[in-house]
Amino acid sequence: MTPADAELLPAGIAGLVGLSLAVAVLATAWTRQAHRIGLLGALAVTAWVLGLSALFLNAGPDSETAATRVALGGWDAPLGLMLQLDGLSMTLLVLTAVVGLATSLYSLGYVHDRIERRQFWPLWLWLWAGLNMLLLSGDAFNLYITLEVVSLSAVALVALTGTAAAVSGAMRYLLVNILGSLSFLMGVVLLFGEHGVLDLVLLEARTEAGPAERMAAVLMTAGLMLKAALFPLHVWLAPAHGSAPAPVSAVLSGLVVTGSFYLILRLWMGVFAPLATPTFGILVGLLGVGALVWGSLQALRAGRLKSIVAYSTVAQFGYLLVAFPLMLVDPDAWRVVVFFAVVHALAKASVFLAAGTLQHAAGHDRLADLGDVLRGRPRTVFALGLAGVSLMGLPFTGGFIAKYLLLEAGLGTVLAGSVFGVLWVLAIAGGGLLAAAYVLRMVAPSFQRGRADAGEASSPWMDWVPLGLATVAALAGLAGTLTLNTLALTPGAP
Amino acid sequence: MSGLAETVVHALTPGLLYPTGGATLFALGLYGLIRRHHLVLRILALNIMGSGVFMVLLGVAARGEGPPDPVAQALTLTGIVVAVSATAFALGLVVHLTRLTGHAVMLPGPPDDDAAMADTSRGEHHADGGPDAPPSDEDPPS
Repeated sequence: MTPADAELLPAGIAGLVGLSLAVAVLATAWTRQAHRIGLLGALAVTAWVLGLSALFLNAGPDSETAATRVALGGWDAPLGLMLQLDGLSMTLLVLTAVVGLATSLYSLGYVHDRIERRQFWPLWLWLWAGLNMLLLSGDAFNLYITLEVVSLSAVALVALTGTAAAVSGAMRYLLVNILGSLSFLMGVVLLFGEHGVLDLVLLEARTEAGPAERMAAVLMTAGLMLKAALFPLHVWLAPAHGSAPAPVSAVLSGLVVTGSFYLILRLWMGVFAPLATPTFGILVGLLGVGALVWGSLQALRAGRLKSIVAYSTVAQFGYLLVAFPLMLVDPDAWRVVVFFAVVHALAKASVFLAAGTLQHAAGHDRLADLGDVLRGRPRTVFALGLAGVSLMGLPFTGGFIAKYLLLEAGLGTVLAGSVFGVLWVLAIAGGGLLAAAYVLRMVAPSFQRGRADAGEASSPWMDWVPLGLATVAALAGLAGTLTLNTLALTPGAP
Repeated sequence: MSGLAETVVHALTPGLLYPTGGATLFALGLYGLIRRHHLVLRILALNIMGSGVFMVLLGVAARGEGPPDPVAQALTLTGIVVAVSATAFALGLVVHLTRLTGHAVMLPGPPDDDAAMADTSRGEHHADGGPDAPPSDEDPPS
């Protein structure tokens, strides 16, 4: 890399945090123009992230050296707060930007009420800024703060419609989130008490498999699992994600949940790596199988379109848990897991956006009475189906590549002689079948004979954005090699 | 008797007292959060858990020789600020929910698993009758 790049990259990292915060503050201060500021801000942040990724990939070959770290205000660790950028955070930053931009464009059409617009945009921009900070933060306590920024704005977004169901769902979501954050914070405190530092890199160098680390690992992982709605701590997800406005559900299911998962992965690859034993891996994998089966069954019997999608998030996150034992056998498998999470986030966000358009058109989302609108809106149903195909993992979609690689890792486990390997392979393959069942359940009415009715008119954004995002999700397979190579630029990872 | 008292006093050195006390508060708060239904009590329970975390953190700060670690104290202050804003937000939600439903408890369960049920955007239905399952003793009718 050239010296100019080396100077630009840290400035780009600090600038991204500054820019996304500035946009959020501006929209909060000037709510009357919040949607204009939001749109410009979304474009600016997306452009910035893409530029940053080009810069990052240019600086590529020295992946063996440390991640790019920025000491804010010139205060170095252990006292200062460090920002850090590596392949993992870069990939998820790009994902956040793509889904964020799509959601912003969709919201131009979806949130048209003047009052609602003033409330939606600032909160959404804070959520986005919080996610960007979460992905860039390299300090355990700062991670807690960013988690709180993300969850408080997410809760407020869930409550946005102000109905009793929405406020109640938001309340449940808030209690769960605060509990998860406090559990995480207790773990941070224990680590700080043991080692006296909060910086992730310094912590990683100092940890060994002691009792304090074990306790901290349990507390932090449990807290984050609660926030990521990982089975069996998932019960809050469907009421919260199902009752939120469509763009909010898309962001919650696509990005917020993925953010908590990112943190779990980051911690277990770094600070808690000495604690990972095969028994622990198998335990987590069994939870994953439970999530796959339970979430899929709930999705099969749910009566509302958005509930089906919400329960499918629980099921799909089961894959991420099943991947833990695979990672212990084949350390390289973690990149496949992240790729799967990326494809899932893209597909899930577009399914939720398409469901939002259908709900808007019909005035409800009861699947039993949705047939007319499903037949009357082929474009939206196509988006729903295309993203659904990616969720199932049919060939040529991003989901196919992700599941294929996952299956390959699973077969590797079987070859390595693990009895449980068979179970993982069965779960990965069977989960795809179950996904096919509930996706087909959503689109099936459009193939039946009957009246076609486009329902209430909606803005073109609501028609085209889900389709665009679903196309991105389906084509993500083409970017598979690029993503996996970017992820390889994570130092310290196996 | 005096032997027991001595042991207790010995165990209550700041090095052990604060972490033990903090862990106890954390556990008590968690119990309250799970057992209580009234939302204000639940929020209080979360605050008790938070106090437990801060107590452990302050115990960490005071450990060892010399003056307490200022970093831990700064973290505690930041944590308190976050806790206060989260509590204020939660209380705001409770007030709003109470206005809508007449009760400071959450609606029972996910409202969505049954095809026959009314869709959730018509949540006002609940506003007339309150939640389907009236809460236990903690929520006396006003």
